[in-house]
Amino acid sequence: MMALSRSSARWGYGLLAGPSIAFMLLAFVTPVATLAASSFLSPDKHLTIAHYWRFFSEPQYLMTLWNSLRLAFYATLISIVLAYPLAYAMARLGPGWRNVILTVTILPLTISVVIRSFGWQILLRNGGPINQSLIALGVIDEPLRLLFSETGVVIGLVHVYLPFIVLPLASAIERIDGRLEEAAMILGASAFRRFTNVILPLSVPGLAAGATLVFTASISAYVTPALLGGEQIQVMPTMVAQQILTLLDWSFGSAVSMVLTVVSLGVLIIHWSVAARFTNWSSQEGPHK
Amino acid sequence: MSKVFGRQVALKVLVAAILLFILSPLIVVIICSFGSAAFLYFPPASYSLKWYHEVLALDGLQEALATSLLISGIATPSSVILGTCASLALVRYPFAGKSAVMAMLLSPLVVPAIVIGIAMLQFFRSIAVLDSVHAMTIAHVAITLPYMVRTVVASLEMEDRSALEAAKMLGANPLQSFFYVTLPAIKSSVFSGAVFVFIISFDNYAISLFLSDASTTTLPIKMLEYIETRTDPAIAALASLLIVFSVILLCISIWAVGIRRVARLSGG
Repeated sequence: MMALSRSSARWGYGLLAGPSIAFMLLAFVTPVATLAASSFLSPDKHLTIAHYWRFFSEPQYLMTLWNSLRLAFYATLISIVLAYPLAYAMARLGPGWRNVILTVTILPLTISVVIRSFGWQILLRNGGPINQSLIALGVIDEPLRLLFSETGVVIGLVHVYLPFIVLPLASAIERIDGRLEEAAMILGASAFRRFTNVILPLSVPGLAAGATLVFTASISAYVTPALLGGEQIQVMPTMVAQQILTLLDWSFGSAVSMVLTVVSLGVLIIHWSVAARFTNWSSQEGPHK
Repeated sequence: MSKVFGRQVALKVLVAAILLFILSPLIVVIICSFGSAAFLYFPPASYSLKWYHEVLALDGLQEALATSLLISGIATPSSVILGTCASLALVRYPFAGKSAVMAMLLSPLVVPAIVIGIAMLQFFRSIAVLDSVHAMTIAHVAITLPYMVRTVVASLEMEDRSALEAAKMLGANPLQSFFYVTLPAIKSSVFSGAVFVFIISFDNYAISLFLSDASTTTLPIKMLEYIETRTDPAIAALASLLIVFSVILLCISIWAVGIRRVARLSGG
């Protein structure tokens, strides 16, 4: 009786998970695995690493990888700078501010990247409000080239992926005991030192998690660089699209997309393993309250 | 004391400025949509509602909207049902390879969208039986399933198992205990997950781009076409309507599960 109900439970749960597993194997794993396989095939269907060799031996392609890493690095750095005030205010200014900040931060995630980029195109173009006000203020004489430049792409990336870092950072800061800051203040630490000596070190787990998400999302982003960078700014995802849609070079395009996937996954895996080691270490030290 | 107060004001001003940065592209689009000139300009010299009358007359808009609603309308319930069932098995039943299954179901979150897009394009071409609406629907289910699984698994892990055991002792069969015990406990998560799945599918550009063809385009792809070819504010009016639509959906999901759970859902 017991054995029967256990095996029927197994069948029941198998029936529940089965369709999703079968669907994902067929509709996701197979296409991605096929793409990975085709990056190792020559036109006459022989195994080859020629496509990867071509990528890593041409300075032009390496430059594209470097562009991706550099822009993602800038976007991550700026996101960190903007995320700290937001996360700190969420954790310390009470529920009213927290809810407003959360809602405003999440809102862009629910709006198509096409619409957001359209808004940035209006803001950043030569006759746009940013250039006009800078000229009116006498900061610049000629309009700055913001749209179709690296600046535009970085602004767009920060705007899209800021929520990814604000949320983990806010929960990390919320866990920091407010009395530590008070103690530091009583001992005469300036606001700057309280940040560098209390908040910053204790929020590292949230910072690392958020920065990893922003970085990997930024190197993988296609729409933002395509719409705000134009044709001058080539990054890995736009290069993949160009190789496949314009040049119809499927095998090289799939090799480039595998390089992109490995870089992005690699950053995530490094973060996961470091974070896991850090968690083990801190749990041995005893709970931090 | 006044120093602390001054610092709080400084923080609030800084926060307000960053929030303005986040909202600025949306505000600019909305303001431009009320401009009366034939050329999109910020700030508009004079205001009118006339571009809102032009929206539905945009060439090909109604077809693209219908395609988008069809795809998201099929992809959302599919993803909700598949994801909820898989989450039940993952949380309730310990089986070998469980973490591998979980990793596979969540893997679309860690593969760049463009890579998913071309992988699907290659795959659907090679099997050559599906038209682009089918292909996009399947792709949208695959990329939204992880969100559903993540939300429902989190909600099931918080579930009170004793109610389930009580139902079993009272003679409820598995279906009855699902509909009378489990579903009421997870329904708000399932609902907000469904809203998010719809948004992700309806807004998707990077993957649909590869799977659409000349006769079948979704709304985001059509919109980009307008942005690149039109210079009047009709496109801003359309974008404003979609912004309002997103704000409403966001409010509904905040109302259903609270802002914290919505935040977690969105990727943090």
